[in-house]
Amino acid sequence: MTALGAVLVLLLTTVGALLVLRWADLVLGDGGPVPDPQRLPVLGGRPPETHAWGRYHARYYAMALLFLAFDMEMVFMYPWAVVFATEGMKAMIEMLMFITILVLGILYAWREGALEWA
Amino acid sequence: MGVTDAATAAVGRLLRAAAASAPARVFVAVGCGGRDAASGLRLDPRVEPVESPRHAALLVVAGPLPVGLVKPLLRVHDQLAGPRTTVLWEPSGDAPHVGRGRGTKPEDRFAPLLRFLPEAVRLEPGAGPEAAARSLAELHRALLHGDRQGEEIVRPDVPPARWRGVGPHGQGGQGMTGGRPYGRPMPERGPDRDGLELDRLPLRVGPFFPPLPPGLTLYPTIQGDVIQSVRTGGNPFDAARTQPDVSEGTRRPQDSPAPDASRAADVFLRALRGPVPVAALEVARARSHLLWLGEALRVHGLPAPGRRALRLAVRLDADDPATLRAVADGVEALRSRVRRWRSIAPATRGIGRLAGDDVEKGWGPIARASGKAVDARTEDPAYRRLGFRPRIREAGDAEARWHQRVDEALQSLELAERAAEEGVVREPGAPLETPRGVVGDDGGAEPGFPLGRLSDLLAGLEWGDAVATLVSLDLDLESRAALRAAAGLGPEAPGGAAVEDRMAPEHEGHG
Repeated sequence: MTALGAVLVLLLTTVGALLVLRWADLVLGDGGPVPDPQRLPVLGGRPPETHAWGRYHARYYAMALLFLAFDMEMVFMYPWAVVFATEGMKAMIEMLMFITILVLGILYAWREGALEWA
Repeated sequence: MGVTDAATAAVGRLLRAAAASAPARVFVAVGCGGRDAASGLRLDPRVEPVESPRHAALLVVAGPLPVGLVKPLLRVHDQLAGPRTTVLWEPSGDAPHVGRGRGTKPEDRFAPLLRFLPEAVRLEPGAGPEAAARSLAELHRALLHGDRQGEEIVRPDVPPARWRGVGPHGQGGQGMTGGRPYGRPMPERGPDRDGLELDRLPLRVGPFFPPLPPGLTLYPTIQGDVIQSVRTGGNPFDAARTQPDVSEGTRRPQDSPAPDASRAADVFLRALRGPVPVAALEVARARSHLLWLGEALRVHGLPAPGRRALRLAVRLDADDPATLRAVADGVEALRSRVRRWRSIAPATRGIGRLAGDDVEKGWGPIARASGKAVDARTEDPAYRRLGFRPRIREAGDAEARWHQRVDEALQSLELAERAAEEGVVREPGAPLETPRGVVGDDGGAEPGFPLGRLSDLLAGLEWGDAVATLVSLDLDLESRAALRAAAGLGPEAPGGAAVEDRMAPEHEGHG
């Protein structure tokens, strides 16, 4: 089987599975559109007072930025992994120096409370 | 085409048969006298009580509802996915209880509900959890196989307020942004803990919310996850609240089902009026604490140990002393096992701390878990004869209250064993220590943690911590109303603001 043939088989299987699920939905039925009293959010018996479109403070923002920074560090480690196989211990020492500098950054962030957002 | 029709019919039949063989999913709404039986329903493998009405096919009303809970129940009923059926269950049957209203004939007890749900199934009064589970499984199968038509929704199928524009094409007008889209306002802004002005979401967490005690309505205002402030609704089981009779429109307080004193308070209410053997009192106390433990473990995500605690509670029999020792061993084993998993401690340590000065002496195990060495049993000659000494813990947080109740359950079992041997009887007259507080104390002390104090306790907590705190307080609104009535206190004030929860604006265009 060629590569494209495999892709075609995958595509057809996916579409087929989707169609089977749609047909199952048709068979089982869902009783029509959902009436408004059934759509009320489950709060235990009282109607909601306001809409629930509330903005809240994304306190994990600092953590997300930190993650991005260390994601870029990971990006640097991918080509290094290829080179490490041939270069050996020297490459290892250089990467360890790189990581140590970044670990100091993590420790600083930890001390400053960037890792806690609750 | 014939083949497709036959195939779809066969698949439908197969799937329905598979669904019918699974345990029936029910949503239990607890009314008067139904809490213990609803816990008993968890032990039956044919029935699976679920946390949300959307997951259930059957709505079980365990006990007659006070009039204030009828409308919330109808809303919950409409939230069940069809086909749905309502089952009216009265586990305490016709047993005479102190506090049951006069003039309530058995067929009238569910009258307000039957008016809106005429097709509801009424189980035998006095049916136990086992008989109820059998009927529920049968109904579930009948619903799925199509032998029984599901009930229609009760409330009118209209949106709260339809959006109507001003212009010729339905555009324009006021309201969608910054106004009241679809009839409901947007959340207001307010300062949050980081100095920002963000939205405050006012919630109404209603009387039939499984993690909360049945009948309790909370009105928290949350920002993100944190509760900024909380109001509590009143106690719907207060018999003294005048409630309009639904069928006649006149106010007849004695016709609403008064709080049924079957939840542990039964023996205790008897003890207020006459002599009662100490063994019976202590067994009832242990049962109450174990039933609480079962529900608390379930809310904290440990349903299997919760069922184990419920099974131990059900096994307790005041007339058979052998069970007392067996249950005590079971409780010890359960406690050490849950401790080993280290799953309750992180959720309860340091949460909901009540300092020793903040607790009142009538609060029972809550006061003793905060270091206040008060127990009405120390004044009682019958208990002094048995050498009773109250157990105290210092921490005052939710974990301390958990351990306090388990300690007291074990202590009660031990006392019950000795009292049964010696045949000790308690005489009425002295203040009575119930599992949730002291009754009969002069000075009109609160029998248990008052709902009004919840506002201070829960403000500033995250939602999960707030639920953990509520669970650790072991609130039971029905027995609270019964004990307050027995102590001659009036209806309980709702907490947080002087607003009767019936007046809270309910934004529904058509009521």
